[in-house]
Amino acid sequence: MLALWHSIGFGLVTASVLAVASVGLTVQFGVNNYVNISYSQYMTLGAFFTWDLMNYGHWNLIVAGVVASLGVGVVSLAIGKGILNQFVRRGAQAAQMLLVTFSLALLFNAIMATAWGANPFELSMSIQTAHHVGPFLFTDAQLDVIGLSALLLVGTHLLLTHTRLGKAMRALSDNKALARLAGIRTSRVTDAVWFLTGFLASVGGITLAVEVASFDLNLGINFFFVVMAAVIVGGIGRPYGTMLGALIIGLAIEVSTNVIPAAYKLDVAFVILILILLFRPQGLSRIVGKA
Amino acid sequence: MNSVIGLWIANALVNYGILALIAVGLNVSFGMAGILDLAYFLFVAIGAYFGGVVAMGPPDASILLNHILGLSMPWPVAIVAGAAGAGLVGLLAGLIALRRLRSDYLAIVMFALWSIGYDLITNSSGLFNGLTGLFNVPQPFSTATNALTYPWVFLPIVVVVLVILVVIALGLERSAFGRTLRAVRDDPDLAESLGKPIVLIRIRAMIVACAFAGVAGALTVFYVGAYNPSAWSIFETVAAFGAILIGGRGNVFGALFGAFVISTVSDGVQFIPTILSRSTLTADIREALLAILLMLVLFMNPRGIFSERFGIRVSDGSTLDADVVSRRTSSQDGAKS
Repeated sequence: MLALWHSIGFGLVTASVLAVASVGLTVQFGVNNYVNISYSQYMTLGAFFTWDLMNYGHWNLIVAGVVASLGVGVVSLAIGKGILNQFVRRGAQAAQMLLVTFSLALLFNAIMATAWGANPFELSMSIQTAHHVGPFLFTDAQLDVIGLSALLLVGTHLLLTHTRLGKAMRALSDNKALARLAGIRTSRVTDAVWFLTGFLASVGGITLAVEVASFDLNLGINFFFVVMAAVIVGGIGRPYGTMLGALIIGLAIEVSTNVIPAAYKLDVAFVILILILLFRPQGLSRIVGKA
Repeated sequence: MNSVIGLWIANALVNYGILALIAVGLNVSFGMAGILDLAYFLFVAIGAYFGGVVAMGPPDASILLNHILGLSMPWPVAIVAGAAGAGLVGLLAGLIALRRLRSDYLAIVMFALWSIGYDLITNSSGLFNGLTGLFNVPQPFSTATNALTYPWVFLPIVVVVLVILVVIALGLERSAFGRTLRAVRDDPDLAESLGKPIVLIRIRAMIVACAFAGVAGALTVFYVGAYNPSAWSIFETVAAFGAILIGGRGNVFGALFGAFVISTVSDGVQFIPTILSRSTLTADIREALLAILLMLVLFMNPRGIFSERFGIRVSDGSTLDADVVSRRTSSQDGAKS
């Protein structure tokens, strides 16, 4: 019973990591209408930038993480405007964009392998103390991850509901042509989406690196289809559905370790992803409602 | 011809032959049937592993070599077994992914299937020896004296297999089945309305493609004598798709040409001097070049160098084909305006 409660606690931490990364992906997916596989590499890049700032700049995790994520946001904006938007302008379809972003992920992989190598890294932290919260047991870092995730999700919620930019993003996600007719400057909103989603991907990657303690080049690509699973479960372009999707996937992954070997826990997410795409491709969005 | 350059050429030719097989197979599923099969290298791996365990004899715990089957069949039987194993797993993947999904969702499911396959094979040491992979696989015609010039020994095998499978692929491309595949790819609704069982047709294309992949995988395991998960990382799939997209979709000659370009890049980077502190630099440069090449092709000319009709006599009286072509051109004109 204790093991079950602990695994649920782990599930909440994983869900927090997933929620940030998958809300970013779902917003990007919703506005662009294609899957950006290189999003997975923005997660890894964020973790590497943070490691550099902590080790060479001797900054603490939070400051380094924020600066690194702003940097990844800029990278995401540059790649989005400079490369991906150009393909779309040429009339590339979703299937073709999948191959483009797949190659782009490979290019990122090669560049990061050259810069950081394939060795494992750690985002160094002070010695962790454990806290009992209800039936759960969390370390300092895990509580930070949950808190940070909650903060960012509330922030994203406020952005989407209370600002002109957020409303424009949602309009674009629903119907691009209509949004343009309504006088929304779509290219500016798209730029903001590139930056914001790059930032969220990076935060997701950093918190993931903190959660798994030791990370390497494959951090993001290994986790990408778990993020994708949360997006698909929640419904593409539906931030709130995706948060629920992250909770479901995060709990499913960690609770499954009570039944199956932990080495296969991510496969639980892949199986859910496949089942949802086969039997309910619109996700659970009808239940949760639109953003 | 046994000089360093001679051996490089022989090795490059063997690598080219294997990649050409991989590309010709992917041309059936992705090129002709339009299936975005991002799990394709999983099937190459299945072929390699099956081919290996059918030929390499029983497992030997004293050298930490555990695997299933452990038969000692001759290598031609093992190649057929590799094709059959990959085809079977391809059927399974097709039954899961091809019944309902099209386009990018299908690609995501294939990607997820690849991940599951990768986790299963790397984590279970009793299946194909986990992360260490298979080794000590007996190499055909290998003797103590020809070990240094082995690429020349192996090259004729690759040539014979490649010629046989290219003839099969050309026959397939020109057959009624090939035309149906293209019709299903270009306009599934139209093909379905004409009574074509499109799911069945796509699953059949998938099995054929996977069998080709299996042969290529089995050849790899016999050429190298070993096989482990680093040989089929998810990004290897980019090389196979690159070959098809450079050469042009749905054309065997295009696949052969594209494979030549890709394998030239892969073998050419071996001339870059190795730096000790960055031992993976050559592999990284290869990855970067492949990625940039594929993106350039997708940007400049997504149709590839050879058109689909290259080498095919057009007027064969097939009304379905003609109709699809005219619909396709008209829909493109509509998109341009």
